[in-house]
Amino acid sequence: MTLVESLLAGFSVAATPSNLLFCLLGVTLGTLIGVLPGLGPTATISLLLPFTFGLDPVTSLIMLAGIYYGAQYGGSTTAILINLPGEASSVVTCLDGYQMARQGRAGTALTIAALGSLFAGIVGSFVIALWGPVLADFARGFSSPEYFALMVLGLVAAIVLAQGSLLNAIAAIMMGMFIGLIGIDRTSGVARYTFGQPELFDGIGFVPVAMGVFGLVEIAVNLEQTQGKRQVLSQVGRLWLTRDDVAKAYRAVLRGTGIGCLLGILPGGGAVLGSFASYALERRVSRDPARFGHGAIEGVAGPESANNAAAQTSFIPLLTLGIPSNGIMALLMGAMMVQGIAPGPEVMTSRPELFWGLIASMLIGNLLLVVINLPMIGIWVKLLHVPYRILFPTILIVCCVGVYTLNNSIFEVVVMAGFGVFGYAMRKSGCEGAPFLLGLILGPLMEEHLRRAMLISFGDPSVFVTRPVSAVLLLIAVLLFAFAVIPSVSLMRAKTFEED
Amino acid sequence: MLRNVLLAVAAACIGVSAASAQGAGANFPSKPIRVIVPFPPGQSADIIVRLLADKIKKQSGATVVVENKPGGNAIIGASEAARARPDGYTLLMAGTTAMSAAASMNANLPYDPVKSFTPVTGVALNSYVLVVKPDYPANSVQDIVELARKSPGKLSFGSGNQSSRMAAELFKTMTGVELLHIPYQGTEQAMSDLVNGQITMMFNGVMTSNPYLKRKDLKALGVSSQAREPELPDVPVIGDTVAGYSFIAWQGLVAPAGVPRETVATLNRLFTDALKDGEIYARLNGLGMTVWPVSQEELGKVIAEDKVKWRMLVTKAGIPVVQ
Repeated sequence: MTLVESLLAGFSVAATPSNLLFCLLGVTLGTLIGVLPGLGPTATISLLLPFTFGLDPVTSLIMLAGIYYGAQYGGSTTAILINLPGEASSVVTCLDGYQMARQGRAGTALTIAALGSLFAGIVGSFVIALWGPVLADFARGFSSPEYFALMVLGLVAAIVLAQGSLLNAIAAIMMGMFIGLIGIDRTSGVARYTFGQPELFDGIGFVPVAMGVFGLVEIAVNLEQTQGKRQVLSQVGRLWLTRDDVAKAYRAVLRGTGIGCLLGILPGGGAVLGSFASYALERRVSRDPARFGHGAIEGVAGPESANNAAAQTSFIPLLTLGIPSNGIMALLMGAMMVQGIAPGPEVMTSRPELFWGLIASMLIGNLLLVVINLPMIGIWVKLLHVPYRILFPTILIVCCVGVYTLNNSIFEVVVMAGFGVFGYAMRKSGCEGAPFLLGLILGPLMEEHLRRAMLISFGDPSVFVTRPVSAVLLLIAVLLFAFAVIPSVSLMRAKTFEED
Repeated sequence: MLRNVLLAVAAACIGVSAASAQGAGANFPSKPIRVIVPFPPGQSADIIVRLLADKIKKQSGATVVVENKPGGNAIIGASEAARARPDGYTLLMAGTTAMSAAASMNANLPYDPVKSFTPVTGVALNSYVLVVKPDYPANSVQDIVELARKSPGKLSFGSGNQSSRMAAELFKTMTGVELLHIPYQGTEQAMSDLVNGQITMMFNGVMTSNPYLKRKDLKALGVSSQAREPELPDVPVIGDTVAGYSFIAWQGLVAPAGVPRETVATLNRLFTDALKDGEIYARLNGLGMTVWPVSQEELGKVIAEDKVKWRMLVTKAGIPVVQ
């Protein structure tokens, strides 16, 4: 089948009334939680996960994906209007977006954010359509040594790209891997840290942990911060772009889209990384870097395009290799597996309607998002006034019901509560939840593939370097890790040079 | 999922109002029958029970409610069923995993497959097919055995679940060959490695193998059942080469021990009537299974036989027992 035929087949799946409805539902919900600070897509998707199991797999994926990229749109709204990033990926949008709003150009900033996201979203979807099958063909040759190398690369990337201290990121990943050890070892059948409890035989469930570490911690942190009066700008200003705006922004949109697409594919990458990298790039290539931080439209256009492009392309590793590149993709992988679909190269041939239907829905969803976002900015702003004392008990109840219905198990509700406390302690000590979660997911997979690769090779470790793909992946991982260490080296060097 | 919760709540309410009026015997069932499925929704055991519940509702008006209690290799759900009141209103969707595998691989199982339960009826059977790569230099079960004898421990088999592994372990013990076991989580990755030549062979479910066999990505050497499979009429029975070999995974319904005889008989009739329906037959075939509407005695015999057979296999194969 050609690309056009496949896409048309995808549209026939995505355009059914129920799939359109759930796409709309997903992107609306995504925008909503994007606008609301404190409730991110990870928490939302994990909350909704148990409720999607009754849906058709394609429908549930369409909706959950919509939440993720929808949040990239919504996140910019709060960042621009009240200097509060609705999403982590919108942090850099605050820098210039809020300044533009203060200058009465909020409408322009919101429009360029939405249009940039639309362009990036469409390009990102086509990148999946074009590269996805190629990568899947390539991935078909993957066996345990390659998967092991890929997991190593993913973990190294998670360490390198984590914000803050390198040591904290490593610690978080290690803790995640340790929690991942719990359960009956699939290779040997030996029970590890189960204390004879059948509840622990399958290991600690990923969804309760994610809901504890993200959902509950988010609530706790929000309650902790004083609910001071937030200044909301009443003046949104004109929505349309001037010729000068377009001239300045379009290159930034193009560059942002490119860098976002690229970083989205990388294991450990995603929307946050894309937006930061794009902002840095815009500053570097600008003829007048001094304008940045004072309302430069490129500073909004680039990162907002990048985060949406990355949100789309981060589906590639999941859909083609069956490897989640970030916490959200891991949640979606869980959603697929519960539905009896093992994500991997097989999906595209065995369930083409799922792959192409999802891509088609992304194109539809991106259009819907622009329609939702531009005329409804006024309404989104009003939602910021919902008092948190009403919002947070609702979220808490939904969390508990959601986890319980997952396996009809009280034990998992307790697990969620426990990891809520654990996650809070982690947050307080400067450890991020995302690397912890990646350790929890990738650790057991890495072990499984390492041991299987060793079994198949009759104990010869050279398979990892004699098989070309595995060797290249491991080499990249080593180089990436070296990069993470080098900045301190270069900093020392810089200081030495200064003294000369 | 939300629907299940609501259903369960509704069922509980009806149960309370009806409980006072009922005794064992003629008017059974006077309230919804709860079937504990020790797997998450969407797995074959879950789908089968939901299909049966729907059919029973249409045939006799009796309500069957599914309750998923997954986890712990089906031990969590089975333990709960073993502890339930033996009034016939709680059943367990049992099978090779919850019974044969759990009993042979756990030192401290909270229940005994034979003593803790009353067998009710068989539900479905699933047989396996021995598959290799199309260009592998073996065209029969005999060829594989000879190749394995020539290079002991160099031929490997993959498994995505315990039943698939046990089919191979039984083959090993009965032929006396040495094969290397490569475990997988789920059959997808194992099949992919088999096609890529990473592993030599696999005992895989007939239905999941079928697409690979049709695409000629794999070739079939023999089936594990006692007679040829209708879906694979050209594939010989492994038992023809290895005398006495037969391996079939089963699913069946059991109740807690001590359910009155006439209640068990009523339950058996309810479920076997549904299983004999043409639509159920076709649906189960679609899931790669054969319907197995047998008496409580026959199911009991299989459970008891399996307990002995699996324990022997686990010991011979040196599989570690969970303490």
